[in-house]
Amino acid sequence: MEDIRLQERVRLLRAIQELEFAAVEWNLFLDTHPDNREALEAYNATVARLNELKREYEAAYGPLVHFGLSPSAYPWRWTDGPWPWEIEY
Amino acid sequence: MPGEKQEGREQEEAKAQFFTGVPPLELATAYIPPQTLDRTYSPAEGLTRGTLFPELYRPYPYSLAR
Repeated sequence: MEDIRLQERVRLLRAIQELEFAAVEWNLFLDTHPDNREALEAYNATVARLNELKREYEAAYGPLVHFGLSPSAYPWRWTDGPWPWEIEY
Repeated sequence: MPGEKQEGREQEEAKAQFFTGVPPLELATAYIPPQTLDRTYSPAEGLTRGTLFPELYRPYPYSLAR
């Protein structure tokens, strides 16, 4: 049971990493092609999906980052382990 | 002045000798051809390959056959 929950957490974290990378790629493409509508739409779609998954992850497992970027449920969840980078793949 | 012109040509010749077998080229000139948007990888495939764009995929060992 606990194993399945961890698997789901890792799957979601991986999906976030994939979308974050794709967002950076579109970002770099748009730096040199600012008037490419197709790329801009792909970027915006990627960012929207990324934010969706981040909210889903944080609602289930707690903040992904601190520094005022992630909201937290009560009690403060940032100090709950494991942190995203401590999860063993 | 004629002397300066002469020196310029000698430099050109020295350059040409340095690059034996190739036309005399400027040192360390970088160029970036413009990228055209075409097919892209899925986010999952992109993260694995290190690029979202198939035309930028450079696996090691590098080969021209892709």
